[in-house]
Amino acid sequence: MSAIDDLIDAPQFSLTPQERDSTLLPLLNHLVEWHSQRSEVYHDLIAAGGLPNPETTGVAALPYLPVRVFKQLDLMSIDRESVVKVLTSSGTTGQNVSRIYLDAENATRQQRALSSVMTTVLGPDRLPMLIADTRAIIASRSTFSARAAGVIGMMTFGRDHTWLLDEDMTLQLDVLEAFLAKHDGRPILIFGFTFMVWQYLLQSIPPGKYDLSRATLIHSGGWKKLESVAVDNDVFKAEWARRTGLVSSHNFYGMVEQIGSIFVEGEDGWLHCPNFADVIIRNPEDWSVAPAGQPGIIEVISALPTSYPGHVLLTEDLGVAEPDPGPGGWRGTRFRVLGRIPKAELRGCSDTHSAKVNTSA
Amino acid sequence: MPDLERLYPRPGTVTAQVAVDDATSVAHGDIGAFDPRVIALLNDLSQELTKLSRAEPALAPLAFFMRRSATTQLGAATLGNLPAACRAMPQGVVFHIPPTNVDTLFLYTLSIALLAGNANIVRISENAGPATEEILELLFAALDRYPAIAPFVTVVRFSRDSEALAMLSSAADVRMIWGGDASITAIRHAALRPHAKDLTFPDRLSVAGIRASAWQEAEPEVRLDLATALYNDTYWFDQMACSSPQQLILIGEPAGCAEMLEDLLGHLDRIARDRYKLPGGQAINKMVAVVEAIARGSDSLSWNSNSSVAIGGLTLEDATDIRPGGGFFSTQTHADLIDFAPQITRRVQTFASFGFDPADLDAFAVALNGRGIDRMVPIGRALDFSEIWDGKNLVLEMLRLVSIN
Repeated sequence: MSAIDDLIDAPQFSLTPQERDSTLLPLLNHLVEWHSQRSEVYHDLIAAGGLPNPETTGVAALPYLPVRVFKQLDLMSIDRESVVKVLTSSGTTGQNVSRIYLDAENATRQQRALSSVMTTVLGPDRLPMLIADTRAIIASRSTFSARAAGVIGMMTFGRDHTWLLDEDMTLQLDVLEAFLAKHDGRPILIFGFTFMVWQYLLQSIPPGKYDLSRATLIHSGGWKKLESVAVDNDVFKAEWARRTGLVSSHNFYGMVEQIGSIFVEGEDGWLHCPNFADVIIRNPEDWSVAPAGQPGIIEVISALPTSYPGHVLLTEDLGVAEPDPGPGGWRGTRFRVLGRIPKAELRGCSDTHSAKVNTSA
Repeated sequence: MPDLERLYPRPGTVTAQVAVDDATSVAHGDIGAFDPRVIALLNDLSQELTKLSRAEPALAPLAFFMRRSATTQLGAATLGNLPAACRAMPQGVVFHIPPTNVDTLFLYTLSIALLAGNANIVRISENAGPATEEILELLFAALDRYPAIAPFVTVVRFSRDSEALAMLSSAADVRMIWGGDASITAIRHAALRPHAKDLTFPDRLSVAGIRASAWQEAEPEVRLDLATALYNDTYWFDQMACSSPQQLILIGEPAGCAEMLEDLLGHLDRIARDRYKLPGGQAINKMVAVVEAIARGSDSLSWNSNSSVAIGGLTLEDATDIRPGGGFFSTQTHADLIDFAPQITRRVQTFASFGFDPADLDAFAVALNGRGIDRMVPIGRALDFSEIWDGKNLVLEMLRLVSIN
């Protein structure tokens, strides 16, 4: 079994930063070499000196790509004939989408990695699963939205899948009640996108009516919409506890460009890196690593991508990191996502010519 | 009947027909070419803009263009050089569709059209920024002080898909359209009357050229002045005005050019870091541009700081849509200026240069034979506006010649 498989198959969130330097870093160094030999663009970028990076040691010294390049370029480190799956992301309104090329090996590995993370969070058994969404999103088998793909990916980790919302986003209380009666008092899984879980599910549940104290909630998708109604993770969790008794709530952060590699909220309320991944917060002035507690741009690192050079990606999200360890027992750098970086507003004499590279989200 | 938002005169919602009637009723009325009252109004506005330009230096060339001595001279030069036995008369109604985002441009074309004696309808973009609002306030106040001229200016705003566009177009004798290629093509679907004409100003790109030996022979203070001039040309409009150079062409021996480029970029970087506020998120736009450039074959990269980034080894064609702005240069080296000529297309507008003899520049223009480049200026003057623009004499375009024999 290879070193990456060892990292994937062990229980997650267990390695200290020092242990990551001896296990994860050699894998990442190998990936730099691997992709240099296979992706011409990646090779030529490094040969030209790479993007600005004053760091000289550790994962911070690894060359990175801005995540948006996958919307502009077809980057892969395999022959086109080996591609078994092309993943696409939805950008915001009408922009280009990312195209991520997976071969069979990478496709299998990302599923195993995700499974390992979920097993660490949920335990080894597939739990009865409530989905805070409508079945209509998977009605068209040929064109799955990113939302549908997210739900389908997660359905692997549950059983007795039960869709809670109808097509106009109304909670079907009778469906919920029947499900709870059937699985009375046993652990269940609830999954949905953060905003929908709050707006369409929790807001429709009368306080004290149902006991969800044995449920685990997994949610993702960003806080932007909730921030506009002044709901952050603390408010979110407190309201779940108040209305339903649910205390086990895990937000997660991930992107299609590093499929399989997700960062999960631990008991301490911070996002944690699985053992095959890491995170760096960079200072956007000079791209050095920001000190703990200082906000900067999130760089996500994963040992999974072998079929495309997505192992070290500079995101367009702002975040802040805290050093290891925190309360709760999960190890490694901990971080929070603070939101998107602002979109550059440029002047200019033309209203269309900057669209190619300026305005993708 | 489509409605539009009238900003001047008397702000409020009116039908497009009202705006058309207002303009056509005064067209060919009582102001002629280079009317002293128009010259006085523009001079008045120029003084207001000069005050504002202390905070916003990009307004200084506009104020300079509008002052009395400049417009008087323009009038003398225009009217004194007409063909024999000709008089110059206004075209009638000029419909201006300026670009969204170069805040000052509409005042240049409005000034020229007014100087020529035309009635004007100016459409301000719905996305216009606060700088445009500020300039409009000054314009409206100046018009209020000149009641005889004020009826010759109507300023409106309407949405992109409004039928007001068709109605205003059908009343125009001249329609001036600035914008991206797609916007211009869309606007031209609105028909003009048979005698009327469009003046279009599509997306352009601009180039700075420097002779390496001239840079090397220059005193340190001359180099600093030149770098400052290039900074002004490029960074004032975030390097996104059509005349902002985005390409740097170095002429000379490769080693000398490389040395010069490093020195110049170092100067530019220090100036930009001191004076330029990089729009948030722009550094990552530049990173994406760098990777795209590498994918197209760029073989060199210079990232002095987020404020100044240069890539090398791409042709003009390959670099054309890699223009994030805000201090991003595609560089090329050639032994001779004439060697760069084959890459020039109609899309190239301004060639801002340093270190060439007038004869070199003339030979360059002759070699191009009109294929591209509409203006050659010294570095530092790229953003200056002139009545000769995109190959047209805008004053003459706003006039009709009546021959009297």
